[in-house]
Amino acid sequence: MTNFFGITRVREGLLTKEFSAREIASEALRKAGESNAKYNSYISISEELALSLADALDEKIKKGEHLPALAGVPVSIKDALLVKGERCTAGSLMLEDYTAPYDATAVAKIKEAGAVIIGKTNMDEFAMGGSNENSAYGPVKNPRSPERVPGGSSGGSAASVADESAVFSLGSDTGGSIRQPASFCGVTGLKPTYGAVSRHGLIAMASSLDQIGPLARTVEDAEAVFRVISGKDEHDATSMEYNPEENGQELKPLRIGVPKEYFGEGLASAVKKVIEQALERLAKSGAVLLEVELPSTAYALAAYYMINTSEISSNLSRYDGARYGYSAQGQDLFSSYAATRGKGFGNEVKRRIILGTYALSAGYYDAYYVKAQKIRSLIKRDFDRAFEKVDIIAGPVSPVVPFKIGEKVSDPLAMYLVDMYTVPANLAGLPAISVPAGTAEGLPAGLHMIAPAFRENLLFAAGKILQNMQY
Amino acid sequence: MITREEVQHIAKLARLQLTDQEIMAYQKELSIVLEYFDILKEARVEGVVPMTHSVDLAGVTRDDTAKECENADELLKAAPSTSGRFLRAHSAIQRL
Repeated sequence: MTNFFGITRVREGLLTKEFSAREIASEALRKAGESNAKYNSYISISEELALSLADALDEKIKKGEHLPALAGVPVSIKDALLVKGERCTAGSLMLEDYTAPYDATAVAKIKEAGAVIIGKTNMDEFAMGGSNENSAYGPVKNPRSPERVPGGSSGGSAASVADESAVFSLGSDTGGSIRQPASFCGVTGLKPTYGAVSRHGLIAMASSLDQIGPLARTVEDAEAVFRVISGKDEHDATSMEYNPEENGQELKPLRIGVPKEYFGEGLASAVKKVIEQALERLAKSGAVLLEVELPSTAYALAAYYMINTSEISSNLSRYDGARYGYSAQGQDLFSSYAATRGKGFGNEVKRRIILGTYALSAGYYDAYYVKAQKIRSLIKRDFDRAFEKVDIIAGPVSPVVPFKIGEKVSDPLAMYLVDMYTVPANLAGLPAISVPAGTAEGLPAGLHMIAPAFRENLLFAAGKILQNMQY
Repeated sequence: MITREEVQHIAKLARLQLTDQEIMAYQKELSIVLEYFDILKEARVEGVVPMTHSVDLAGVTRDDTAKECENADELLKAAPSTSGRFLRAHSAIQRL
């Protein structure tokens, strides 16, 4: 079967009757099966759902009805987003047998737009991790280099797009979980502005930081998906009305801020080179590069992990063995709770719950949690000041190239440090994108671009320039 | 270095049953991470207001009206143990 890759390509094929939605769905399901055998990228494949969505679409085509924006496009969904009637594990044994009772809003929107859901992708347990090695369903291999990690926590989503079983995937990003795997697997990944996409139906990790966003092969596809999933939702009080057309024009020339704090200690020289070359390419296209200062960057990672683990310790208290999910019975209430959570949660999840509980406990609350929140204010202020003189800020997504599976599992701090460039955007609630910039040591590396709140359009514009200059 | 007793105390607060092996591992790993967090002490934050959220929203409200829950049965079905339309759990109050 001919290549169906890309949202526009699928649409053209359906309109010219070159193929039916069912044919695309069948081909995508076959590829997903193959992908799974090779890379363990899916936790479940939803054949029945995919075919029924495709058949409904073919029926519409037959009747000559208008084709919605994502008609017939095969898509994978991170297993942290609810798809009604499908199993949703969040990569955890805690939810091994959990069936979603409703659709996440972002899922409902892409269904409404005609997308065909082919499966749920592998991920770090409850989205905690940057390598996909924390999944209770085994690690994912990077399709670009199978002995290496695909990044995380949306590792299966990035792998499913990289190996072309899905045209795009919906992931979630709390501290880099869309952008870092996108960078590692050589695809595009967008973390939208906090509030731009409803979080209803996303299994919560750290609610003040979590955002749902697309991973896709091209910036154009990521943009098309973002347009479908963004907007206010009565089920998420933090979601905002969003109209991309009303959020300002493309600016010419584009002023790109380059913070020296993003090119310092810890950045691998091979990655640095790729990023500098990408910035040069953007400069050649007419963009202006300007130095900016983000002086609080040094504290961002520690502040992020303090806030992240504190919110986790509170959010995950819902797994009590009584409402849903895994349940271990003890002799009394306390022992039932402790046994359920002790056995149902994996290593990293327990580690973060303990860390967060410690940070929030009496005697440490002000020194850790409140201090971290104050630093969060400083980070936001740094960005506000920088955006007075530049339109976007650019740098590396990850300080290192995709590492080998097993290389960092026994060193939690080393794993956390990989997030150093991605967490500031989550703390400040800003939109950020990873666009393939080239290869470092033969492995993909993405350029990271951050924009002011609700200015995703600037990221798409800059991303397209970079993308179209290298192909 | 965080003590064994501290890990056990925190695990109790968090309702987590841990094996001896886990307690030992977390003691070591958390000490390393907390040592890294000491960097927070260096930051000058006099007069800075703590930021709880990136969106400036206060008091989002909606009308207080009753709505039918369409999937109550499905939600109940997800519970490990039920009695009629109640979730079954151990008693939280001890009889004297």
